[in-house]
Amino acid sequence: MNPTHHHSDEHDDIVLLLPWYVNQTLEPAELARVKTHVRGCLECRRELQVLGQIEQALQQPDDPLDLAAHASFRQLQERIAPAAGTQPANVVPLPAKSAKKPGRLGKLTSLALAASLLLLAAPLALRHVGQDQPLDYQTLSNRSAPEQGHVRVVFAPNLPFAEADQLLRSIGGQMVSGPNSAGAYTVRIDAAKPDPDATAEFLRQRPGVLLAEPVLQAAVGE
Amino acid sequence: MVRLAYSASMPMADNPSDGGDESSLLERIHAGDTKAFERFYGLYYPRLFRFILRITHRPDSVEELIQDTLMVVWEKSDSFDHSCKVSTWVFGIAYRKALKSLAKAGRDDSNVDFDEFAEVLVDPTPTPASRLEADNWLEAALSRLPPDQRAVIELTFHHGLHYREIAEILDCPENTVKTRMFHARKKLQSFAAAVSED
Repeated sequence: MNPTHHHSDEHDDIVLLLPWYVNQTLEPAELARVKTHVRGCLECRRELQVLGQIEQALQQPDDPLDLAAHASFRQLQERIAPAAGTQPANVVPLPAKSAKKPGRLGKLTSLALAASLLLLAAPLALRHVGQDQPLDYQTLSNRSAPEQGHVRVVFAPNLPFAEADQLLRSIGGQMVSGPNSAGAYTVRIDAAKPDPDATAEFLRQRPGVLLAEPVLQAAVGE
Repeated sequence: MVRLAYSASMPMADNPSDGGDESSLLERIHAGDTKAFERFYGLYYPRLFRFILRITHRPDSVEELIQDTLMVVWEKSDSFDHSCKVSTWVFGIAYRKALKSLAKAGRDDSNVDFDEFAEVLVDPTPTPASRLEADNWLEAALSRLPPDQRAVIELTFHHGLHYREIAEILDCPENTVKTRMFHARKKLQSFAAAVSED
């Protein structure tokens, strides 16, 4: 590697350390060297500006992905052998090494999450999910009468479970199943005359809801 | 900066906030405590999701790789020898599995997957999100780096690790980490310059 050909060895060494000067992890001796050099080196100061921009762009916090993590863990549990014998309830034997891999449905969940993570439009991601998996979502061009009082909802991956639950309670809704492998919950609307269309429309307007659709009768209780 | 020892907000996690808590979780996992494993899972899922996706750019394999990584934690927690932080051990496992996955897929130029993904999803009407993505030159530039350079960038600037710890995760010499970073920086700057000229 030849970081620069016309500078001193000290400059070449320091240039390599600049990213860790920016992320503030250098140890005291290295830090002192870099500080001393940078004071007198315009090239390194310019480099620091660029590195600072890169760091800033990459600093967004991890999405908690609470719902996705729950669904993923549930799926992994299926790979873990069931408890046996007299062990405590929260202790299970180690899983068999031949445990099955996550299926196609789990991968589709990741596709949707990845799209969300990388700022692809959420509706597009959900459309993709729908292409590969019969999620029981209705299309606008092929609708049947909705099941009385049920809607299917996909929440944003970063929406805390408690907030999702609170939102549903505010409309008299209750989760009756889910999430399925694509992260969709089936919600029953407890009302004298539930209106799934109106409820779904209301939910779609909420910022933490990626998708809401009335559920066909055959799809309830999947 | 998002540090590897930060707390997750997943309800089922108990927000362990430092390596000590993670070590105690690992000890319980070694004893077969599934509740501890669930906590650990919630703590690492979002971090691994981003890390693996950044390296592989293959969204169809992220879930599988996360599960495979954390399955190793479950099955082989006794192989953690405490010579490094728990997070270093876990990310090292994830990195190796991500590279194997790329090798198996026969492609380490990961542009293809997201391009294909976007083609499938393409909508003729630009959305704010798609416009934002188009404007995000850094994401575009990162996608053109090889996986090992993306890993160094991610672990440095997102996870805030010292190059020594990155070397442990990537299982390579410290100078290799510095060199990968140097070449990655130059490519990013070249890309930025090219974009600004357009």
